[in-house]
Amino acid sequence: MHELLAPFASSSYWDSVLLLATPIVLAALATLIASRAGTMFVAIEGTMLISCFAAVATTARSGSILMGIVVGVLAGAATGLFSAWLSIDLHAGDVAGGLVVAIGGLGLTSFIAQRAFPSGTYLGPDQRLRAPWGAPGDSVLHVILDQPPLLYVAIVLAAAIVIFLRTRVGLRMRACGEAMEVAQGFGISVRRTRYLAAGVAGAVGGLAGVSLGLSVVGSFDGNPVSGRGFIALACVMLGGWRPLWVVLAALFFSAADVYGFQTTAVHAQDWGPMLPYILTLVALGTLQRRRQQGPRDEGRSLDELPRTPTRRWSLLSWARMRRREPAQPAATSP
Amino acid sequence: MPTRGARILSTFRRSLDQKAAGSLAGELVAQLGAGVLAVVSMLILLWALGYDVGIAFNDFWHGSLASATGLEQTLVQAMPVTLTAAAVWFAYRVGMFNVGADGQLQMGGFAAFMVVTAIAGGPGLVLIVIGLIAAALAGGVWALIAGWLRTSRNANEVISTIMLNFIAFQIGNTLVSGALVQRGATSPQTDSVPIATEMGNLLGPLPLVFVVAVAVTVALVMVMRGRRFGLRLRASGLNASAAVHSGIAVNRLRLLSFVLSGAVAGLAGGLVVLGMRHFLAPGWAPQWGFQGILIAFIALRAPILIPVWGLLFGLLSTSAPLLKADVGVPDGLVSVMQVLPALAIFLLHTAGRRFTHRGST
Repeated sequence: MHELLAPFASSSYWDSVLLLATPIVLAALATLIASRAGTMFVAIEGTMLISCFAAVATTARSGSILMGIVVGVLAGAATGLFSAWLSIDLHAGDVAGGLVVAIGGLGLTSFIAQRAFPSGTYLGPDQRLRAPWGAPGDSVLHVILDQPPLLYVAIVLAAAIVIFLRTRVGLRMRACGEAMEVAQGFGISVRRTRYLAAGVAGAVGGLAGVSLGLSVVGSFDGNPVSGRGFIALACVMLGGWRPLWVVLAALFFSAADVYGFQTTAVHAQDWGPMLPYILTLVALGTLQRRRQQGPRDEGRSLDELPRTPTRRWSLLSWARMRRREPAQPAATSP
Repeated sequence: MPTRGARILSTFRRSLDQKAAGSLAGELVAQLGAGVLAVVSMLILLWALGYDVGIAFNDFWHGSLASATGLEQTLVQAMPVTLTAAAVWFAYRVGMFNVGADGQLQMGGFAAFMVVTAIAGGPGLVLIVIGLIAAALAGGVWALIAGWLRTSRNANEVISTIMLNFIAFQIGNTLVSGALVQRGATSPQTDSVPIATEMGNLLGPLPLVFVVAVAVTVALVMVMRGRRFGLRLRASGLNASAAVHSGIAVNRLRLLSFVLSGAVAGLAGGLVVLGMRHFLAPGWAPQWGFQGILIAFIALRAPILIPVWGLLFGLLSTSAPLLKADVGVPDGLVSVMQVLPALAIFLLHTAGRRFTHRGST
C-alpha cells in the first residue's frame, strides 16, 4: 500500500480518530445550539476548559466519575450563562465576551490547579470514563463499540437536535437567530431565548470538557483544550449549521488531525500538524457561499431591537410577560 | 449640486460628530474609572487570596515602574500588546474582526528575523528598516488570506484567522527546531540577530520600540478620524449597506484595512525580534494577539488610550515573575488580572447606559 495511505488501514488509527473526535463533536453541537439562537459561542473554548478542570478535579478528589460528570456539566452551564451575561447584558459582544471567558478561564483553572493540586491533577486508571460494556474481539466492532460513552451520547444528541429544531420551541429558537425583530414581534423574548440557549450550550460544552478530561487526557495540566473550542466553531461552519453534517465535519477534522500525527511520510513532522487547519481553510474557501451564511442575525446585538416595556428580568416581569400582547412592530423608531 | 452619495456621507459625518462630542467627557470618566477599578480589584483579589499586598504593591511600583530597568521592561512589554490592540481596533472599526493578530505577529517576527540574518552586513539602521518592512509585509500577507476569504468567499474571518494562528504557530515551531535552529544548541532556539540591528533606547529608559508602537497607534487613530478616507472607513463599519449605497467600495476598504491591520500586527513581531527578544524559541509570542483584543475592546471608544492600557498590561507581565518570586502568586492569577479591566469597563459602560436611559424610558 502506498505510504501516504498507510494509516487508514490500521484499526488503531480509527480508534484514535473516534476518541479524539468525541470532545470536538460535543463542542460543535453546543456551538450549533447557541448559534441557531443567534449567539456565536466563542466562549466554548473557556467553557470546555473550565468544565474539563471541574470534572477532573472532582473525580480526582471524590473518586466518583459520576460526580465528575455532574460537576463538569454544571460548571459548563454556569460558564455558558456567564458568557451570555457578558455578551448580552454587559454589551461585550459574542467574540470579546467569549475571549474574556477563554483568557479568564485559562488563568482561573491554572491558578486553582496550582493552589489546590500542587503535585498535579491526575486520574487513576479506574477513574477514566470508558465504555461500560466489554470490548468484542473483532477489530472493526472493537473500534466502533469501545469508545467513550459520550461519543454515543453525542450522536443521539445530534439526532435529537435535528428533531428539536423542527418543533414549535425549536422554531421559536431559530427565529431568534434568523430574524430577531420578527421573533420579538411574535412576543418571543429574544433575550431569554439566547440566555437559555447559552445555558444549554454551556451544559453540552461541559460534556465536551468532561469527555476531554475523563476520556481523552485523563489529567489536567496547562491548557488541555488548546483551541479545540475554536475548531468546533469552524466545524459548525463546515457543516452548514446542520447537526448531522456538523458531526461529520468534526469527525473529518479529527481524522485529518490524527492522520497528521500518525503518517510516516517524508517531512510529516513538519506539515502533518498543520494539515487539519489547512484543510479547514480550504473547505471554508471552497464551500458554496449559500452554505456559509448561517443564522442571519447571529451575533447581532439586542440593542438593535425596538424597546419593549419589560426588559428587566425579575419574577414579576416574567409573570407579566407570559400574558403580554405581541409587541408593536418597529414602525415608531425615533 | 451634491450627489446622493455625498449627501448620505455628510449625514454620516454630522451624526458621527454629534456622537463624538456628546460622549467624549463621559468616555474619559469611564476609562479613568475602569483603570482605578481594575487596579483596586487586583489588589483586593490578592488580599482576599491571602497574599501580602504590601510586597505585591512594592513589586508593581518599585519593581516595574519607579526603577529605570523596571520601567524600561514595562515599556518594552507594553509594545506588542499596544500594536496588536491598535491593529484589532482599526479592523473592528471597519467591520472586520481580526482574531489572528497572534499568527500575523509570529509571521512578522520570522520574516524580520530571516531577512535580517540573511543580509547580516551593512549599517544597522538600514537593516532594521528592511527587517521591519519585511515583518509588516509578512503580517499583511497572512491577514490577506483571511481578508480575501471573507470579502470574496464570505468565510467568517473570526474562524479563518484562528485557523491561520494555528498554522503560523506550527510553521514557527518547524522553523525554530528545523531550518533556523542554532548549531549545537541543547534546546530548539535560533541564533541571535546581528548586534547592529538590536534596537535600544531612544533616551533614558524609553525604548525605541515603544515609541514606534505609540506612533503607529496615533497614526492609525488619525487615519480613522480623517474626514475623507477615514469617514469612508467608519461608514463601512457603522452601516455597510448604507455605505454601499452612498458609493463606497466597502469590500475593498475592508480588505485593505484588514491587510493594514495584519501589517501592524506583523510589525509588532518584527519589533519583538529586533528590540525585545533578539532570538526565537518555542513560545516566544505568548497570546499577545488575544490580549490585544481585550485592550482594543477596553479602549474601543477612546482609542488614543490604547498605549496607556498597553502599559497596564505590560506592567502585569513585568510584575508577574516578581510576584511569583516574592509573594508566590502563580502565573494563572496574572491572566485573571488581565481580564479585570475589560470586566470593569463593560460594567461601567452598562451602568452609564442605564443611568442615561433612565429618564427616557
